[in-house]
Amino acid sequence: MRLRDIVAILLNIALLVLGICWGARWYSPMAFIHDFESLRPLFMLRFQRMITAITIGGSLSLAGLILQAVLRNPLAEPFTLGLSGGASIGAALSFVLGFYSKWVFAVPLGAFLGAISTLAIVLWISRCGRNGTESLLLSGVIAGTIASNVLVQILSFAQNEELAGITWWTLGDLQGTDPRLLWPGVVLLFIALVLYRCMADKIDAIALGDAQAFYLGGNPRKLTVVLVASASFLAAETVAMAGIISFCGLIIPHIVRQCFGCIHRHIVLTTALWGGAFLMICDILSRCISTQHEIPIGVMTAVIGGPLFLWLLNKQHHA
Amino acid sequence: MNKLLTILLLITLPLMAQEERIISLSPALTELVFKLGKGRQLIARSEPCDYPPEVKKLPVAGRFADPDMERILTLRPTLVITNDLINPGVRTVMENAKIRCIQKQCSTIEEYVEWVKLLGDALKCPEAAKAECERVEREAKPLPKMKRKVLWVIWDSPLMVAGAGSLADGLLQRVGVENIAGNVKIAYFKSSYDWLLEHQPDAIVWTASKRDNLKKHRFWGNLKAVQQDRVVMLPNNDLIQRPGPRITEGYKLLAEQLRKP
Repeated sequence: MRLRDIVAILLNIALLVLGICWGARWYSPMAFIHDFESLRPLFMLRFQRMITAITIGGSLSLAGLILQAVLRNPLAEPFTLGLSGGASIGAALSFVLGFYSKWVFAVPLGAFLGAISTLAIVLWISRCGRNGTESLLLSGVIAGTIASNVLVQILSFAQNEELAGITWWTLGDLQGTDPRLLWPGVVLLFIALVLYRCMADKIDAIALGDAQAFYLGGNPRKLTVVLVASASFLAAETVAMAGIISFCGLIIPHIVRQCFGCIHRHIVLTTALWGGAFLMICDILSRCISTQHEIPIGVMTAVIGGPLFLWLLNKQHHA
Repeated sequence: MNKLLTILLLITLPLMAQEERIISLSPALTELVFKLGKGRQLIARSEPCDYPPEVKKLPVAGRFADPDMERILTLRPTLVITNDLINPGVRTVMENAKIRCIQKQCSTIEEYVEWVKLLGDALKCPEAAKAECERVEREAKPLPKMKRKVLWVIWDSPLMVAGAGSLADGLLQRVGVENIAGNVKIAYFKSSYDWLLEHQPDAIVWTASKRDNLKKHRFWGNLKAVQQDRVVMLPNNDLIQRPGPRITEGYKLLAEQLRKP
């Protein structure tokens, strides 16, 4: 393990402790140790929220890293292939058709199925990348645009309460994640980390282009499908857990590459750790700036991540 | 006999011509029109208007605050009443078609009373309006303050609660209890589980979707109000969410539940 990963792990642990101590009211770590029984509900609430932030931040960053490499497009992010649009349709249907009030998992399941269905359609239209990554990317963008318009049509049927629910869902929410969805997410992130670490050299090759990947002994088409499908699955899982959280999957891979280079063997774990840390910072601020009135996490990721990314970009140009 | 009929017709025709042909784009206003005894003058409604039951027989002329202009122009109303308009431009279309449009918010009991007076004048029934105003003031009279903190849950995932300026906040103030989120100057906002654990309410008004076994929920189960069964769920949320004539019924039920020892 490299020093930078050890530093990132320590940063994650420090943020985890900070996130547990800081909230509507500050409790020192000693207060939790001495009076654990009475503070147990609060501890569990904040601890689970922080683990959710690490898992979702890590998963989105990792998915963004892989999709940017495979699609060879710096604007690629976990939802580039129309996943957010598909997920929003699934979630919106759960709200509008009233499934939401009948079953707590109706919205997460609707969102997950919507995202996966969109991915399947995109892969089918682009013949699983047979016509090149451009066709895959374009199919994804078009599927996303169509999905957004279908969503607008669904929203036009929605009543006020449903509209509020759908709007808030699209802004992301970490406090509502059900623990029964969180732990599969943690396992999936771990599997993805191992998979991408093992495939790191092949990811490097495909990032250079299909021809280079072929001459280096890989099957570019098969590799593209495996990587795109697994990264999108990871992103779909985060949508089911906490709605759509934008920006994290776009900027963290860029920041990591700018700081530590493009060799995927070295940056797979780093990206996941930095993504987790970034989302934890956003979450802590979103609930501590105004303790009673939370700022949506999707707003925080854009407000913090955007300027940070632009600063790094300018710094690199000046250098 | 023929002369008599002609005279009767001459007398009733101008009266009939003066009657307003009303379209309501708000469920609360639809209920108010019926309460003022002018239900027969209502020629169309908005999609969510569902009370009194006979209103469902009327044609639909749009959604809440979102009129279907083609439908409205075909129905030839003289008066359209609404709380809001998604596209304010449609008002000009109505004015050009000589349709009067009364647009005014109605999100508190006070605003409802203002609407009663306004419609009483517009529909030429000031006595009925006065009686309704008096009834509301009498039946929803503010009760003495008591030390009880109440949380009003609008939506549970994400957690949306009622803050200052909402109908819920106004109702809680009249019932004499404190809205735990009343210090936030936003009518409906996303709140934090963390904050609620630190500032536990004594009772909860739940107008979100019904949830079985709140006590077993990973968050709600930690609140004393849930553990002590102090969660008020009314069989019909329209009674406390719709600022119309039935708000007094909702007020009574709320007061009964929230003020019990």
